[in-house]
Amino acid sequence: MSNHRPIKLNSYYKDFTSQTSVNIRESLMRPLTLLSNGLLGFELKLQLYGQDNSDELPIRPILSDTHLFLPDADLYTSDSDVYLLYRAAIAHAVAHLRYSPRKSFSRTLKPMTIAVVSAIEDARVERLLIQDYPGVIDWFIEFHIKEISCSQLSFSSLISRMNLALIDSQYQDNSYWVNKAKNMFEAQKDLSNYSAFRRLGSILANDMGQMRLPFDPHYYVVSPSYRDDNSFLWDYEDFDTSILDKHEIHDKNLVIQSQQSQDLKTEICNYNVMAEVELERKNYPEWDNRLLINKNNWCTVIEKLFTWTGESNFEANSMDRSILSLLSVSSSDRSHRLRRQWEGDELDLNAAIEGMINRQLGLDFEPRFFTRMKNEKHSSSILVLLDMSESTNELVGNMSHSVLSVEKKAALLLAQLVIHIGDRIAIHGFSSNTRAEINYYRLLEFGEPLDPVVINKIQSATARYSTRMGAALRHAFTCLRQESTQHRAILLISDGAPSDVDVFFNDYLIEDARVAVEEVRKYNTKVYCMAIDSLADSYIRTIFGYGNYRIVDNLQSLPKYLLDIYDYLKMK
Amino acid sequence: MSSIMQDYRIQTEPFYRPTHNEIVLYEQAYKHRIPLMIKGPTGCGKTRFIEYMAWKLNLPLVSLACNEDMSSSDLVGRYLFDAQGVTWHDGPLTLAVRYGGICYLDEVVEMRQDTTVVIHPLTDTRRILPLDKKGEIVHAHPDFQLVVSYNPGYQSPTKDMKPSTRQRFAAFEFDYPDAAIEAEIISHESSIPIEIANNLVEIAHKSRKLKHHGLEEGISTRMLIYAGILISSGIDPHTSCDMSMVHALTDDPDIILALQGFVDAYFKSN
Repeated sequence: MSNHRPIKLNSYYKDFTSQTSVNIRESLMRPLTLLSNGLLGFELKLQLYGQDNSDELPIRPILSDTHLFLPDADLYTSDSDVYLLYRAAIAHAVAHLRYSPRKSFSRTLKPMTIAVVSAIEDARVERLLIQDYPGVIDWFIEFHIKEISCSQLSFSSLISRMNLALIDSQYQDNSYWVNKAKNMFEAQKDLSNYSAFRRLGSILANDMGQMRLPFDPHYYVVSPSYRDDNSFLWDYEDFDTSILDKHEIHDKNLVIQSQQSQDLKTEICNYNVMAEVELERKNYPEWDNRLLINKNNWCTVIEKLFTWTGESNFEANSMDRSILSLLSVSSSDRSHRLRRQWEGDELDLNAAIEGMINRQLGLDFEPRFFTRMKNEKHSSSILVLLDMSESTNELVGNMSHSVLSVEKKAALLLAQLVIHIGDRIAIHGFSSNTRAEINYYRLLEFGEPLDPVVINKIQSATARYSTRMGAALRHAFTCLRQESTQHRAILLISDGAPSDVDVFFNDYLIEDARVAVEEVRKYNTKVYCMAIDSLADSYIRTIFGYGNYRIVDNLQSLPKYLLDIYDYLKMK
Repeated sequence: MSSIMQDYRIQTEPFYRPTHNEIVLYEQAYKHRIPLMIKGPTGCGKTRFIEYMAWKLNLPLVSLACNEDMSSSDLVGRYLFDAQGVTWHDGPLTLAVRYGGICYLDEVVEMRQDTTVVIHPLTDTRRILPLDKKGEIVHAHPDFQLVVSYNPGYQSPTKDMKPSTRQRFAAFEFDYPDAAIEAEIISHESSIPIEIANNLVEIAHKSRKLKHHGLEEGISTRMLIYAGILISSGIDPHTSCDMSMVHALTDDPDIILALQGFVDAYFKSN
């Protein structure tokens, strides 16, 4: 059965990805995450995982309560097939997460029983899901039809035929065992009765055992390919292969990931031997929300000269042109129409009519009947403040970019845009290590051209320590105050809540940051936050207030977000 | 005089399904002629509610969709040339003030703040509208009431009302109706079975959770009604939803795929 709607992946992704080498599977993660979160009602992290050796058995998705790992292995599958496979895998995972008991005791069960009971459980939860989402039956069924193996009498063949029989009411099979499974399954009226289906699975496994079909758990893979490996269902505590435990799987992947990022970090640190020169120290107050006082001279901001050795591999020429292409359609155009002018390019019709009427009525009037366009120059200064704390080394959602790299990209895009239009922009960064040391770096100064040296400098900035947002914002404002332009704004780009090692109350630094934002706003300066963390909603709103922040969870839309933010920041 | 306003009267009862006690609240507000502000996402029934109330209270309804190029003349009126010379023409607001009725300014925050101030003397106890150019002060008809609406969700942060304007209004906060009521509305408006309407509502709920994740607004009740109308006229649900909900809502290919996923999850292919 073919899907009703042709999936137009290729055309979409050809148009919308800037690099040709982009991994289509990775770019599928966002729409699929949106889909799975929508179907599930809460967040399930999707992640690709690969196969080391192509000689091994095909791999299956792996499910835990928080993650779904999707195989990135089968290179022969086309992109739209991959989408269909992942989509079915997600729906199947949603079915398990909604309806399956976790980690059943498996010690006394034979591997074959586990396989049969798992297949029955797969069918049961899918059927429950189909009651919720009638359309998903189409997502599943085509894999059953495509992957059924009828050729031989084997355990795998019988299981795959049973799977099809349980999902497709039209399917007829000549195996006694398959038909028995189907009849017993249909006879169970209450799909939510797990234990009844569990018994049914045991009976069928027993029958299967008597058929003396060979079963080797090492060569058995769950069918069809969208179904997970069922490690979600079982607690293999007596197997020493801890790999099957969900936490282990989860942790194992994370360990690999963090190991990789650790290696990367070490590499970067070796690469940039930081020899920091202190430029200036300045003390700032901090708001204590328990005592309700401003603790004077509480925090010390240390401005340091940002030095780096070595060149970044970033090519200035390869800068994303996407934002400039947006410019032609944006409202960022600085020019605006002046009405009721003495002279101009076009007639101001309303003014002309009004003038004529006043003349008829015998009233005074001025013949200011024209409109013309006017350009304004250098009317705003924007200070972009980058959060350079340790946590920004983490990867964004399902993507392979770190938060810091997204921050840098955003800052550079915005700088390119702002300088192109003719406004002023600076890019500063901060990280903190207790109240005595808030490190502050000026990466791009106001009025400085965005040349390759500066771009390399920004690209090579590294992350460490914590996020004492309030003090950094106060210092950023001190820097921004020296600008004499008409509009001033601070754009903070961050991944999360303020924190520092010498603070133990969650809301203390959040409240301080909120107060700092209020203080800055008193001076007619806008403060806006771009948060690169989809869970940031609650505290970011506390700090910056309704309508003054934006959560970025989609890199493709970054240029558009920046354009919106810039439009906002430069306004009165 | 009444013939002028005849065109503004609503002849047949508009379908409106109350979600809370908004009808009673409106009637009380109208009794005291309190100006009203209706906030809510696009397509959730704000305009329909006003139409219904105008019909129920038997009042003419003068609606005006606001935009940022609007000047105060567009509201209060202007002199125009005619055969005799120049003649004053009342604007929509002046019409409602002079002859009585509800003046409904839709998307009021789109209007520039300096234009909006012309409604100030109308919306306090004075209830007058000075026509500077004509040298006339119009005292509001006893039936006159001002109602404004806007959508706080997607308004850009640059557009907002002055506090001095806001504070003249009592406010209703509208949202999409609860699932059961929304399905009932869709089923009624588009004549589709309630089961299909339920599915459409479920899809909409999932899309509304994508707000702040790439969507400025989720699928509205109005979009669902369009989808329902297309379905009831024989177009298959997938195509109907694609037309009226998915592609109408966004250009973002990721979101389109996700929305189509929701649609596919609820409707089997033929």
